[in-house]
Amino acid sequence: MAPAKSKGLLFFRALLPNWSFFDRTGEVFLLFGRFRSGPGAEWSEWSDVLPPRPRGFLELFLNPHGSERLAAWSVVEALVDSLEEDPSRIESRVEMRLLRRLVRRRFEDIVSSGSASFQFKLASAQQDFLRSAPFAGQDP
Amino acid sequence: MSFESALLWSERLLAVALALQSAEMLRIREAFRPGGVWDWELLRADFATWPRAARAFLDATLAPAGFRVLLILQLLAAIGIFVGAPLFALVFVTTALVSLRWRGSFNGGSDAMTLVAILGIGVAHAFRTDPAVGPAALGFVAFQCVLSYFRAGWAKLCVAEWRDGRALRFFLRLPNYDVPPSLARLVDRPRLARGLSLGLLCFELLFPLTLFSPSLALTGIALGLAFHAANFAAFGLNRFFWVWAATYPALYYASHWRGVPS
Repeated sequence: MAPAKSKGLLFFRALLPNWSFFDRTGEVFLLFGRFRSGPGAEWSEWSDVLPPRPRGFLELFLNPHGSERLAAWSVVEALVDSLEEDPSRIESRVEMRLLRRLVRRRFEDIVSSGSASFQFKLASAQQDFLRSAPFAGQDP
Repeated sequence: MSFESALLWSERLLAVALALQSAEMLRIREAFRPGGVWDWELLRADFATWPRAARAFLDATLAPAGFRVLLILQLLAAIGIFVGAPLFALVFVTTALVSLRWRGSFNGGSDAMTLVAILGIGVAHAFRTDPAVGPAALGFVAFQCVLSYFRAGWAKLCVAEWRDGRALRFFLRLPNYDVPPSLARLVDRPRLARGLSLGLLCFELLFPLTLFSPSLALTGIALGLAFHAANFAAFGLNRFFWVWAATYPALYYASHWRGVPS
């Protein structure tokens, strides 16, 4: 795996606050995944890898899964950045491997077979439409 | 408000924020196990170019067993801070390490504000008998709090979509934040979206006024709490609520300054 050398400072961004939040609109990507129980089996329908989670008042105090979900979206953003930067090295990126783990976790309750395989794709989510997926990856 | 009261409230609110952050992290510890999503074996590749000693330290503290100890230590230190123990250096290090494990940040700006608050409140505690350094350290926390709103407001003001309300509609319709439909529908009407957007810009850009009088500070704090509660409701950003609340006693204290801190 290749370390993200050019992104070194990102690892210290908590120490270097820039205090700008939600300031730029732009292309946002959604993460979809699907699985099949074994070679030759049919692929499932594409579904949200990070499905919505309802939240109530108590999550104001403790929101572990919601916070983790936001961290997962950061990984999606990092992957999009890496794809724009150098698609040829994407397989070696940590964010790529993290996303594979996210996809596997999403479906492992549904398909526990050792020969199961997974795919994911990123799709642009602009207002009311989805554009064609620029990327698809299969878990090795 | 006296320096002592401001420090006490700052410490307690910071302790609550830290305890909640630690507890949240401990609740998702399954994801840290080998083979889990946030497996250290996978993440450590990010640090392959770091010096060997640094990597050994990260391996010891961020692999599952060490990381669990680190989080428990942070939780206990937060409880300690709540009752007055000077454990700020410890929580600064644990918070920085937690951020590092999450590739720089677990929850965006809330991690940055947590470190700012620990630094300022920790220095204020260490120099609480010093008539200059202690108040200046709380002043630093107040300044960062004000700066965080103003800077965020300024960045939005520079974007045309924020000035006409389109950006607010955009963010409230994003599927990745699970915005409740009732809130997302609020901005269906462009005029309302624009009004809310301009209201938000005014709140953020005028926040520095809170430093000029205690009554303005209290108004700003009330609006700030409502703002962060709304952000939680819309985007699930609960950590921001608690850690920004921890900076408010310093802000209220600084609003009493008239030339020389008391």
